[in-house]
Amino acid sequence: MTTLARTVGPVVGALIAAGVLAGACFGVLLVALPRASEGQRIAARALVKLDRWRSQGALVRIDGRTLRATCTPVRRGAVVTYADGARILVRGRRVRALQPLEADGERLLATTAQVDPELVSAEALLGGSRSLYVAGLAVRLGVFGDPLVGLTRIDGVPAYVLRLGRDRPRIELLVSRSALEPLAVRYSSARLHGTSRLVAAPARRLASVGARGC
Amino acid sequence: MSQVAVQSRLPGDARPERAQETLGFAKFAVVGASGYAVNLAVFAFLTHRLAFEPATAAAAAFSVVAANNHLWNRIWTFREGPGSIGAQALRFAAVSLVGLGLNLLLLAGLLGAGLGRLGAQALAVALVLPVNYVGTRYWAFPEREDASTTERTAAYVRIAAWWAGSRALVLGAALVVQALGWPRKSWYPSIVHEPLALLRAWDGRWYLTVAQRGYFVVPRHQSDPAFFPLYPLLVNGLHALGLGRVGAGLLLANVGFMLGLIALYELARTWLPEPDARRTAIYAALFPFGFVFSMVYPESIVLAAMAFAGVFAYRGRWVPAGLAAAIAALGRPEGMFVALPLAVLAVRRWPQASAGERTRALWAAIAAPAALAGLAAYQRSTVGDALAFSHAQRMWGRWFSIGGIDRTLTELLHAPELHREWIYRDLTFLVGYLACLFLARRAGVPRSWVLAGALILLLPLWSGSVTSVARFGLLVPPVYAGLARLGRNRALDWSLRATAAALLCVGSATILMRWP
Repeated sequence: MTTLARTVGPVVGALIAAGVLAGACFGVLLVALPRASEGQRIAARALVKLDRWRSQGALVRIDGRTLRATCTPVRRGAVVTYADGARILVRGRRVRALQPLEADGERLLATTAQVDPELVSAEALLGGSRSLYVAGLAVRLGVFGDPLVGLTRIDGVPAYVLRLGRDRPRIELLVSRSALEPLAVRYSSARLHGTSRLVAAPARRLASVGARGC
Repeated sequence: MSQVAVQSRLPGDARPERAQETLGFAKFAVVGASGYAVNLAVFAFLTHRLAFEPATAAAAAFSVVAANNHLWNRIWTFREGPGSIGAQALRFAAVSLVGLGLNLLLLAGLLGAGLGRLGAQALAVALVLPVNYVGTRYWAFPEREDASTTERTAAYVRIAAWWAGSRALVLGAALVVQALGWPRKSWYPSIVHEPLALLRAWDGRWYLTVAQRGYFVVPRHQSDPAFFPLYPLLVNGLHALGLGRVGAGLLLANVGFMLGLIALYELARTWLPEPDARRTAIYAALFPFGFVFSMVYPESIVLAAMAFAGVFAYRGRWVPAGLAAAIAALGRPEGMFVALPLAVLAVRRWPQASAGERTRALWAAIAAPAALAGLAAYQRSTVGDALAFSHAQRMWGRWFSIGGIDRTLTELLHAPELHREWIYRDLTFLVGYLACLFLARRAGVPRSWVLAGALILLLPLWSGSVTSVARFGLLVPPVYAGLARLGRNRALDWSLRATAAALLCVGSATILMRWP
């Protein structure tokens, strides 16, 4: 009986003390570690929404000109095609200018004969390529803290303004406050300014193969 | 009345000794109070008159106070203490540094709890005073300085010198490659604005993110719950005192490494002869992959905690052993494995131990898993997943499964095609670590420590990758003990040191080429 007590007693005591230690660790972490802000939670929910959302393109306004862009899924990426023939391949967070379909047609957006890397990036972002928004929002959340920079309205719809990527250029994704649906994009740098109104693809079960968006 | 007076002086009565002790403590408190006043005066002078940064002024004030207190303690409080002034000063500086660390941690905690600055500092000083007194009274100024104390002091001096030399190599190499912009200038920020940017790269960024905003899961993306909370907590503690987070991280890592080396030396002394124990710590200081110990990473603190857990357990001091094990487990997943040798020690003590000691020993053995359970509960409450620290690893391509070893082998076989040649670096270290474990066992390191080390090294292979195993192995104390056995040959000893120092420089210079 004494032997049993000399064994069971310490085991019970140690388990209780271990429970206290676990509770103390929990308490210290709860008190001492900061918690994610409301803006970060909204951005994370927007990121989940972006995973399901698809775009058909956008109506783009860049440096005073307005034209339509369509976004088409291709194998392992998407192609953004502008009304002036400019085509951009987007794979993950990489973008590459493709040969325009009408090579001799005048390009409205390109300011020089050579492809301007910043212009290509801006066109890809404004043209509705979802993977760039996902990557930009993830980077912002992971490295730069709080992506939520303000509230606004798009065509009367209340929206959150979420910063994407690094500090420069300034890229903002505007999502509706009710459903976190992506509505618009803003791009701003020392050389280029543009905005776009995104066109969402219909829900997958309603979409035909050709209009499923990217 | 006279009978009472006579009785109170009977031989064996502890009261005179206690009075002596109380007087000593009072003198120590007076010296400490004078030091506190000097500290505030120097701090105020440097910040207000000479416009020093608060952190620099605090460090300078601490140095002045350490010298002041040592002088007064030597000539007044503990004047009967033997020993050379140099050795005493070194031990006193070590005690003061530990006291300072505790002071800063308590201060940060009390400030976080909402106390005012002055009140928080006064309470923190009062709480640290007994710890400082015990360290100063019984170690820095012992009544008798035996051979073991002298030997220890000499070893600490040597280890400190190797620590300083090896850290100078790491920091120097990091500064040089940043200044030269090698291999690409665009990889580095300006050396003027962000010196030592190299040392906060890779996981350092993640630990700083946890410190800044806590845990946060970004769905289907790499997220910070994979990074354990102890180090971010300590960084925040120093940050609350005015230090930048990067600076705090670097300070913690490098000072923690010094403590880790001392702890490793003490642990190795329980396994091996003294010269081997000394070499164990020196090889750890020079270890080629040891540049990680100077980065904004928790490895140095976890190594210190693991080694201290072992040292305390061998001395039968189970409560500090358990606390150190819990600290290790909150710092890195590898810290969990210290539970194994502690459990073996507890089982060995079990038959002779009293009920109280049994409770403490068993508690120490399960302290690391208990701390991990606390972390799991916290992550459950904040990000909704008790195993978030493990699940988050998936986004880095790691998850444990029976078939994980197949994925690891596939990765190794196809590394050139996948452009992952750097994993051969990790593979080379893994083979070296296993060889060192074998040597450590031959040298007499207990099986439980070797087994814990083998688990730290081999279990990650079931997560699908050999990546970073070189870093995981830094937290296996027997590895350094195995090297120390190899270094019993004098010529081999010096060639090992030279090679390790050269490789340490190369490792530091190539940090940005591949994550450690």
